[in-house]
Amino acid sequence: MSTDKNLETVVKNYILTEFLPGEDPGELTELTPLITTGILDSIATLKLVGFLEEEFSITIEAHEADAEHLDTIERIAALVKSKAK
Amino acid sequence: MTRRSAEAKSGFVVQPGFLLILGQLILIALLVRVLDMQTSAFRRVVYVSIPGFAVHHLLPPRLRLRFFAAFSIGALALVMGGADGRLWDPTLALFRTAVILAYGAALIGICLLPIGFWKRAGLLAAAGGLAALFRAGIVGSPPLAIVWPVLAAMFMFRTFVYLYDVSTSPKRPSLGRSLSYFFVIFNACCLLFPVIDFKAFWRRYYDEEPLVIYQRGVRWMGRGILHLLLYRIVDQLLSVQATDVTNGTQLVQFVVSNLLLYLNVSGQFHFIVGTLLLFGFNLPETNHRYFLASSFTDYWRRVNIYWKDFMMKVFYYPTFFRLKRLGTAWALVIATVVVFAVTWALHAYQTWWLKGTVSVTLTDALFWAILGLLVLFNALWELKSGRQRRLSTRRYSVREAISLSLRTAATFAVIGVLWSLWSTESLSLWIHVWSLADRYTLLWGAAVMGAVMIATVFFEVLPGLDTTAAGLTRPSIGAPRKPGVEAARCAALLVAMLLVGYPLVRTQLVPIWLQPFRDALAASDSLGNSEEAQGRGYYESLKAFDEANRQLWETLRRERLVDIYTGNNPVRRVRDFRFREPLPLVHVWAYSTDFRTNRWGMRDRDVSVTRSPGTLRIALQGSSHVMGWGVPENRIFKASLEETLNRGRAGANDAPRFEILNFAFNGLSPLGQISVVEARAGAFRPHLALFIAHTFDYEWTVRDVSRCLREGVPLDDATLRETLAKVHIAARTHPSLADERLKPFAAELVAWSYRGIVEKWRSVGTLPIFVFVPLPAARPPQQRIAEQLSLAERAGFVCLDLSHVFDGHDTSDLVQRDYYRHMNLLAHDLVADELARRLTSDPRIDLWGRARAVLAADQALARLSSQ
Repeated sequence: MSTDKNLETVVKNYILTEFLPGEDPGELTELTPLITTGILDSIATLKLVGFLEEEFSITIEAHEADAEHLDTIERIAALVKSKAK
Repeated sequence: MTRRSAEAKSGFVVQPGFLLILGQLILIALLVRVLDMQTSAFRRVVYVSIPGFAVHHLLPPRLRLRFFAAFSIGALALVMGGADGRLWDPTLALFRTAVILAYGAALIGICLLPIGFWKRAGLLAAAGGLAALFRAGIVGSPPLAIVWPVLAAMFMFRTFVYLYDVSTSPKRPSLGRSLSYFFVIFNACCLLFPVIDFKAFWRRYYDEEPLVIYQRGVRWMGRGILHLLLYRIVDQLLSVQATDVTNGTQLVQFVVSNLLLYLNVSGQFHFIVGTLLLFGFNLPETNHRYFLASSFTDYWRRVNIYWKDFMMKVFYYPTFFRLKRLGTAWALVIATVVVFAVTWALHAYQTWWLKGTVSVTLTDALFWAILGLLVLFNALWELKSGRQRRLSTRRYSVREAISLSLRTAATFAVIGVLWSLWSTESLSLWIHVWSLADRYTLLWGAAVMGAVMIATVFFEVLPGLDTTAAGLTRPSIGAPRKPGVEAARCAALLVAMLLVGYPLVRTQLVPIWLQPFRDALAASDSLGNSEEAQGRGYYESLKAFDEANRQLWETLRRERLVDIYTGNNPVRRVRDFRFREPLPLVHVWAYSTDFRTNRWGMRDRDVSVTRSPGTLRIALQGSSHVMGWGVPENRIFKASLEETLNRGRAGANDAPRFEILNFAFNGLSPLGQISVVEARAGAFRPHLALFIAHTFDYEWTVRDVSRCLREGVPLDDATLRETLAKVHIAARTHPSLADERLKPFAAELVAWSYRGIVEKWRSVGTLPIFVFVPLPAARPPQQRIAEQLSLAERAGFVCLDLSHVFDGHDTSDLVQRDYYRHMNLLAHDLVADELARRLTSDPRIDLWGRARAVLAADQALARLSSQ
């Protein structure tokens, strides 16, 4: 399991590799909206959830697959941290 | 910027930017008024929203939410107090609003009960079932009929979202938040409402600089109006129903126009959500360039974003998460199937709540099944192959741009074909329509696809190539960088639309070749009836009226709608001067009476084409008052007259009989009566025909002449065609403008119609008799009656003037209370008595002499046959 320190980096790298290949990593910040801009559509959201569950050994509920929890890397990290406690 | 600092910048502070917003909102109110948009209730809510917005902005932030909730409930009361002929009825308003609030509060309360999810869901289902009994009219009082569709518009979908959110959140929302979410402004007058997400509603409340949110709201309201104006053009100039398609070109027109009719929905949604932004609810777009979707999943994500989010949240993710142990692909397949099955069912559920009736059709099921499959295959493809996403505006290579344009055009074509299936009443009709495809279908289809490709390049490709173009065509998500420029751009669009809509500009400055467009823009948003809306697709049918939602539309429009039948309208369209005719052998409740038709579609007992020997047959022609609107069949003056004429022959077998056949039907003008003789009455070979002239003969003839052009009914007369050409009336001229231009020629058109009726009757050997019977509540001036009688006499009628038949009686004694223009039982009796007296005493008619001659001739014929 990844440590808290590099959690954001792990998530960012996954998003860049899986959904944004070829894009400038510098443009994806911790506050870049992901769901509301369409980067994370339903299929990408499900892939991301699968990744987070596997990578961080957590379980994400259906109602957490929304913009409140997954719209930015910052929020994703907060969700993972809250689950890992 | 944090919410606190954003809010601190407003509240009691009048900034120049705020005044700019206010100025644009005044332009919007003017537009709504000049263009007579939507319903009377809608316009009133727009007018009060502007001062409401100003007060809300100037209030301290802590008071804003309470003000919004109170203001929304006030707008609900404003709408609910609407009544025929009255601006606002306070008793009705308070009564109806109180019931909506009480029932709504109960539903919210159930969602918040400290019991298990399924128990709350069960209680909600029971409460919904009770409301359904009220909606169906099984229980409840008539003044409250409007309450249930309005309550449904607020709660039928958002309750799912609310229950889901409160069940999955650790904290219960406050009552103020809950009330604001459900009783949201505009919901009472826009029943087709975007399914706003509860969390999004509050998560993004004032999460940006207020003026930026407001300006975006104004932009979306302006865009909404633009969509609604484009819809008018489509509706007036392009729209064609499946039943009217006769060739391959019209097939393309049918497919494209039906798809474009969705502009009405997206226009309303943009306007509604734009208004909510004015109150700080920084909601996302409801639709995003859905005609430029480049795949089926893309279409699903763009066409109704709020619906897609609702389905994802409440059905898709829960299903997927529950089944993901089966593997991603299988879980995705089942979740997608569930979403489209639920979408199909919920559309029928929505229809029932809003209209009070619902019909499940094969085309409807096929549409959702096929669209679901297309989206599913697309989703599986994306799952396997991925989808290219970008962090910034994408730069397309020429090859990519061509590929995108082709995919977009292909998606548009497939969705258009599917949508045409959805808009057609039966699969056999749809197959028939497509059997008319020819080389022109390919040609026009290619032209449409070419236009879509050009639009794709302009709106999707160019923004990535050039910053200027990007500025013109950027999607609306995101804060505008220069508020002043943004405001100026919005104001320019609003002023342009206002100029186009302003009557002086529309009629004087716009060149004549643009007349169809200006006429279309001048068309107010009319209310279709169920018969017309059936062939215009799902969303058009939702705004059609019938008995089940009569009070709803009368309240929203502040006008009386009386052309109502219970259940399906028992008429069918015909392509002649009548435009429609009653169906044969129907039995419905109509005009507050039992309404039956015989096998000929007449409101009369059954009759055979061949008359009985010794019977003098009289045909009766007229409109609603002759058909007996609101009067039992056996109390129409026709029945009394027939009885009076036959009274003298009681017991005498050798006396002639009289038989009166009632061919009257509501709304028929003298022009329509020509077709009545030709298509129906002439075949019965009556000896006499009584044409009961109408007070509105002039107005209705004018109405129907222009309608002939619009509906392609041939006017095979050089004089008529000359008149139409002289006043610049074409098929696409809006009815109100056509009527205005034809008015000076009304007498000429009526005379032509009268001559037509006389000619048709004479050709079958019938004596045509013109009878003027005024409507008690609309007695025309004597000069008009004299002119009408003179026209009839010159046309060849024998004329009977019954204009004084109601003298000595007050109007209130002669008219029905509910159907105020129409004669009551006393008026029918007066007409019957006077008509009997005049028919039997007029030497030109010589009724007894004719009857005896008929009898003698029939007896002679019988003797000859027996020999």
